Amino acid sequence: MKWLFDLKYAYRMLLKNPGFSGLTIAVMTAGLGLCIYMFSFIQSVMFRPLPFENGDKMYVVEAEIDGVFYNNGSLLLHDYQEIKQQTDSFSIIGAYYPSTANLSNGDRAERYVAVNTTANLFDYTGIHPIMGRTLTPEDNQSGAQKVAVIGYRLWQDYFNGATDIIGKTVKNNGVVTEIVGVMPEGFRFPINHQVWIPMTDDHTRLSRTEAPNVSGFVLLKDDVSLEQASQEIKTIMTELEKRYPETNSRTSGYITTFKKAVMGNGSEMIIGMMLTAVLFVLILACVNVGNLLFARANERAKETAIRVALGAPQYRLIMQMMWESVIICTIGGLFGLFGAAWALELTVDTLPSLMPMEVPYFWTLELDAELIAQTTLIVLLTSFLTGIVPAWKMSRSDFNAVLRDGTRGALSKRAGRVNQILVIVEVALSCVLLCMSGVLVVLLQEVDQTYYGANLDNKLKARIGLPEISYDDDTSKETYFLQLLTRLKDKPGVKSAGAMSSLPGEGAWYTTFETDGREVIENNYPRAHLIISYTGTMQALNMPLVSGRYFNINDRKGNQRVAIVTRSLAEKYWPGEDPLGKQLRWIETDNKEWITVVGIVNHTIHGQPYSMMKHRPSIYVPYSQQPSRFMDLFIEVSGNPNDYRQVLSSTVSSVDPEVPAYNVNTIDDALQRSTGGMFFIRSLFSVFALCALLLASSGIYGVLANSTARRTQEIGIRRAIGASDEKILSMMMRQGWFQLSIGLLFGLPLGYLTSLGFVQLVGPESSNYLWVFLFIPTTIAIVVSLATFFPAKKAIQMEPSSALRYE
Amino acid sequence: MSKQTLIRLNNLKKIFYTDEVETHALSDIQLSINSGEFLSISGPSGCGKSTLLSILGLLDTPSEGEYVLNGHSVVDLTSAQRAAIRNKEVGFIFQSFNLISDLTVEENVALPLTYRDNLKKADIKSQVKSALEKVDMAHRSNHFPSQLSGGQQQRVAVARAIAGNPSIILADEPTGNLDTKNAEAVMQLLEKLHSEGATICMVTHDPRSAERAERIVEILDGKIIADSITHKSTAVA
Ligand SMILES: Nc1ncnc2c1ncn2[C@@H]1O[C@H](COP(=O)(O)OP(=O)(O)OP(=O)(O)O)[C@@H](O)[C@H]1O
Ligand SMILES: [Mg+2]
Repeated sequence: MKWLFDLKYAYRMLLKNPGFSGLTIAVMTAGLGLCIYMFSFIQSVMFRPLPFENGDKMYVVEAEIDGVFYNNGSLLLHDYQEIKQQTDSFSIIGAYYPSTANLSNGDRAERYVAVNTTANLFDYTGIHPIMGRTLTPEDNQSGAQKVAVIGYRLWQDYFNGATDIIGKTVKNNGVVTEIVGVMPEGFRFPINHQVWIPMTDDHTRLSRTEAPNVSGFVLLKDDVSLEQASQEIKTIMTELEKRYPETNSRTSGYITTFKKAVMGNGSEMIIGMMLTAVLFVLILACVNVGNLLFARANERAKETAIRVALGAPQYRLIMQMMWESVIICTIGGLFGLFGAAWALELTVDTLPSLMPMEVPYFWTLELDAELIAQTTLIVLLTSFLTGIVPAWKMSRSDFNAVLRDGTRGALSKRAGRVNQILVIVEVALSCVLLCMSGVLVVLLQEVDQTYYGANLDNKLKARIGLPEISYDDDTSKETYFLQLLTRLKDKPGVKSAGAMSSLPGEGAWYTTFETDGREVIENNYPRAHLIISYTGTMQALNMPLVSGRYFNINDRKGNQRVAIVTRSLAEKYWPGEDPLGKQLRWIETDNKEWITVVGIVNHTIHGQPYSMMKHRPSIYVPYSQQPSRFMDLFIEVSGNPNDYRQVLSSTVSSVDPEVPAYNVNTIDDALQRSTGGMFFIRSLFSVFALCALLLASSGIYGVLANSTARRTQEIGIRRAIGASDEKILSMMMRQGWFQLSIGLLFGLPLGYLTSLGFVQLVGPESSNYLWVFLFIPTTIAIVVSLATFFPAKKAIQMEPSSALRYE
Repeated sequence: MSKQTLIRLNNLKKIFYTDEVETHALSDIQLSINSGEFLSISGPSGCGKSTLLSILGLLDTPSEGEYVLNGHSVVDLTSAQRAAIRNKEVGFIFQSFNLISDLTVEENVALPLTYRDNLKKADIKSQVKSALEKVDMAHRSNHFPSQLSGGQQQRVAVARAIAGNPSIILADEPTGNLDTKNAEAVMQLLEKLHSEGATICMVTHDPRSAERAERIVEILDGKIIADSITHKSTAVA
């Protein structure tokens, strides 16, 4: 019960100094709150295993092209089969690919996110249907009767929760399909899917160029490490690259968790930087509180000395001082937990508007028992970190000297050194954080003004997917779009309409090609985006023609095959030559006819405007020569594009009621969503940086005010013997600036290095971001100068006589 | 009254090193203190009285020489062992009282006891109560030091020194900060404790206070120059 005595005392001390306690608790709340929030966020989106029995062993296998990871169905079916046959690392292996289910029952067509999958997907997750059955291997046979398993929400929304649903049929993409099972609520595996359709593609009957791309889902065996499995896959893929250069050039495979696959390229680095940032904020908070406790411990040096004289064991002395930090950190942790819970709720509310897709089911952003346990651990750790230095220093101080005469001579020197280190640490850490967030702000400023190579303003777009069954020949597809675009253009307010397999800003198929007269070395085929454009669309998008011509009605099947390429492609493959009239052809598609370049447009960006994607060249071919079932449709309107949603949808169903327009959205919003993740990260970093600046400036002010107060007597003596105010002021400022320079000496290079990750990821065109490394140190210099100036000024405003009596 | 040797100092030296200056605060100190003795140490300012007391109380270590307390050498102990001995064997009374301002009278007196292992809460309470009764401060147990007069504070300090039944009470100028009346009260208290068997070693400037001990040790420049028995001693004996 001795500790109760100490605890009571610590509690009393905190109550006695409400200002001190309030400040330290606020600082810890900020530090711990941010930390808890970030931890929970990162764990939820990135690290916590999927909520299935073997969640920690569930991985996804995908393709990696040119070092860029692809997800959601990127592995060639044949490659998947090879991996399945050659590996021994997995106890379950299956495949799926995402598809869309256009469900129609005569009067209502609705589109849902579906997967075509091997039957073992359900065993893989271990989840049973609430009604009916799941898929069986027989369903996977080509020619088997068409069946589907549906999700709970779809069952409720589309079928109104009909209890006799099993055995009922519905038209899926025009094919009569029997509903055989309903999955329980919340089951959305793999990401946010609602329809599970048996995959019937038979790799033995399909050529490599005809086969679909799939994702492999695997359950790692207990005795196999992820590295081993990854190595195995890479070896197999390297072998396949050599055997099938047409399809596998520069292609490898990778295995990762489902969560990481969704997060995509560069996410691990960003997560790492977030963790670093939040850790820095926490350290700053600890340094601040530690410093305040240290200053307090110094004031109580006499008391400690008395305790020492009374024979207090050292551990008791340390504990005595630790209790205060334990109380501060516990209360801070509790408030931080509430704050984090609130922030998580806010995130849950805002994320859907920032994401290009539905939020994955496994992003469960909430406080749970695990997080509370982790918080407890962090609180203990921070209590220890903040308390131990002051406690340790004090328990080992020259208590005899303190007892003898009550001066603090022996302590001030040591305190001075600790204070200097604290200021340096605070300067360095806040410099790093401010640099990171400053660089992000500048980089994203540029991203925000990205020119995608087309005019995308005032446009409403939608995705159209024509069912294979009713649009099996080229003429039907062509007729469909001709009708649709004509009807759309006739609508009042609609200025133009067009269709492209993927609009600028949207990701596109990045596939292999070869150019006439250019040697392909070791089957290492170049790649470019292949984009199918309806005649007139490029004009409607204001894609400036550099030379040559746009597509016209003469570019029909049977006539010379033509293409328009981006200037970036022309400069890369025909440098210094006239690209018009040059020839190229696709490698991966069946049609290997040569295509003639008839026009050059400015570079366009497909996918996110970051370094990985934005420099990729594109090749446009006319719809009339290569019709496709899937197209992005858009209309340009006068006024607010959102007002035309109804017009667009109804016009689409007026052409064919079985074909819904999906993903209806303004292009502006779609583009914002595609970079939304980065902007979300920028907001987080801005919060971190703001906290860091506040913590650092208040901390530095606290440290300097403290050490100046301690030197009041010294300053009084100096003035008594005739030092001018300016001399004293400049002496103190010089000391502040010295610490500032040392702090920046560490902080600036570190800030530069940590920001480099962002720079590499975004790949800015200008080096404007370098100004950040001038702006941030200047800001910090101003803050430090102010934090030094005010305490110093206070000291010299005191009458020398009273300063001498000061103690 | 037992005449057991409680403390024996042999050839004790203390040298302070500061900025290349050596201060020989104590040199060649030979001193024995028997249990039950009331000893006063006097001498001019800066002669080394406080230094000697600090060493006796294990607040400081000698540079050289022997120090035997209760039959055990205490020069080579770890700081934890020294803390434990201070806690059990030594009671300090300071010139400036040195009470902890944020603890009540009762808590201040209990403080050394809370540093002991295996003492029950009830035992602590009763020991504190009897110590406070001895100095006649029991009625103020819930006051804070700032609510007491200087004399009262020093009486509380005395209670704290005796609460743990130490082998020796070390007092450095216990009356230095007090007026005559309060000083007299504290001296009477020390005499009373002595008569009940306590061993007391007191540093004082004041010859009249020194006279009230049974034995006076005089120090000059770090050396013992006189060690005499007062009339008081004979009176008691
Ligand atoms: N920590 C120290 N460092 C250096 N010198 C010291 C230290 N403590 C004491 N001294 C020196 O040792 C000598 C003895 O000091 P001490 O405090 O024991 O004197 P004192 O007899 O108690 O004097 P006073 O009656 O004034 O209290 C003095 O010369 C003092 O300067
Ligand atoms: Mg002294």
